[in-house]
Amino acid sequence: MKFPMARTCPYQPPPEYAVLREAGPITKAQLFDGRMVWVVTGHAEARQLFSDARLSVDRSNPDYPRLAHSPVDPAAMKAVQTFVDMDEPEHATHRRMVVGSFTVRRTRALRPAIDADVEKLVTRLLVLGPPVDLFAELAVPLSAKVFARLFGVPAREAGRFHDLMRLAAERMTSGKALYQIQESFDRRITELAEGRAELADDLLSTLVAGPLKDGELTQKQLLNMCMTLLVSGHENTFNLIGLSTLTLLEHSEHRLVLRKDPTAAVEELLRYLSIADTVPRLAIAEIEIAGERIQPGDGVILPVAAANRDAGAFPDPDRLDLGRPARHHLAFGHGVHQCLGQHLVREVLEATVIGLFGRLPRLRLAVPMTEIPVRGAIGVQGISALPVSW
Amino acid sequence: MGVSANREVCVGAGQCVLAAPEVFDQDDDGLVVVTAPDHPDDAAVRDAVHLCPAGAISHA
Repeated sequence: MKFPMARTCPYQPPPEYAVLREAGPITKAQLFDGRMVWVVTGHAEARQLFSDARLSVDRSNPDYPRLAHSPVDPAAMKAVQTFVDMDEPEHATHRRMVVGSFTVRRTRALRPAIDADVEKLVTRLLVLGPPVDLFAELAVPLSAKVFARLFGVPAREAGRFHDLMRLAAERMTSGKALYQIQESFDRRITELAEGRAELADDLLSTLVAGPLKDGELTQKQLLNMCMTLLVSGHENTFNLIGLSTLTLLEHSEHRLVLRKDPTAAVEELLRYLSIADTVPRLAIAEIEIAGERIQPGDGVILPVAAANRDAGAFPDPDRLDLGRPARHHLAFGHGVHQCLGQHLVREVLEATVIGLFGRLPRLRLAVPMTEIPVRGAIGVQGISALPVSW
Repeated sequence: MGVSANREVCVGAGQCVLAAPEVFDQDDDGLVVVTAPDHPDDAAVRDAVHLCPAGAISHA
């Protein structure tokens, strides 16, 4: 079987995952370039492998499995490597430079501001009047506001930053908009480092005042780290908001549960949607698991959407059940690379669904479900338009 | 004895704080701090042990 495959329904895993699961918790599939890789569909096996140091995340290794053709030479990736592509012990050193900015307490403190952002954007929806595209008018601008605040984008540059984040959302993997954001971050870092701008509580200030000043990071490394966080954070945030909203529109019977226990509802949405699917790893030593022997040099793919629909971990896994205990999902991965921004995205998602459905209880799709554009097999899963009425 | 956390392996994911906020916290660097080491081995602590992505938490 070829891997990866596109979703047909945006909130369901590709139908082929059921076939892979039939073959056992770990089986084989073929990548676009003909290479055979291990594909793990079992929750217990995926959880175990996510925390196995014998699986490398180093994309600059030429043996690292690629899901699609990339024009970038793997060796060139070494120069722009950040902690997400590093194995231990390097990874821990670099991750620890930023982890203090993403604690449960720090992200909870951002909640009132996020609630206010949602309120403003929903008010604007009311001004625009139905039908509106919730993806373009809520998911993307909300993510832009959250990241402007996180990175300390100055108020005078906020308008331009939001425009660039909107353009970036249309083409996340490359393009001029991301380059322009990178340039503005580079200028800002220089201003902060030279004392021409005042240090504050934001991520750029924290990294300039700490690791840059102490010589633990070069300015180039700092910039790469910020761009990695921005790109993956933005892409995952707007896709999760868009797809969660669609899913709740299609399961309107759940709205009561949503109000009763939004925290549990958020975890179930994260499990059910598993938008950061198909995580690749490279085996650097032999691993025995579920009766199979993974050899050094083998590619291993962890399709999170399969693990999160394993009946052994979640009874009746294909049913959306906003009240179920789902905290053991693998939507943020597991092991030392588990998502750094997970608490932030939890707050953003909870603020969105409460703020949106609270103000617009009669929200509904403005087009048939079949007309909602679904993203392709590669990259973060989601939709790229969400026309709604109320 | 009781609840302990290994700050050497902690990656600051914060799962323990979500699972058992009365037992765990994160310091300004994001790393785990056990605020109630004598806390009994209840469901919340077991969740924290299970959910910690780095295997940093134990109860003995």
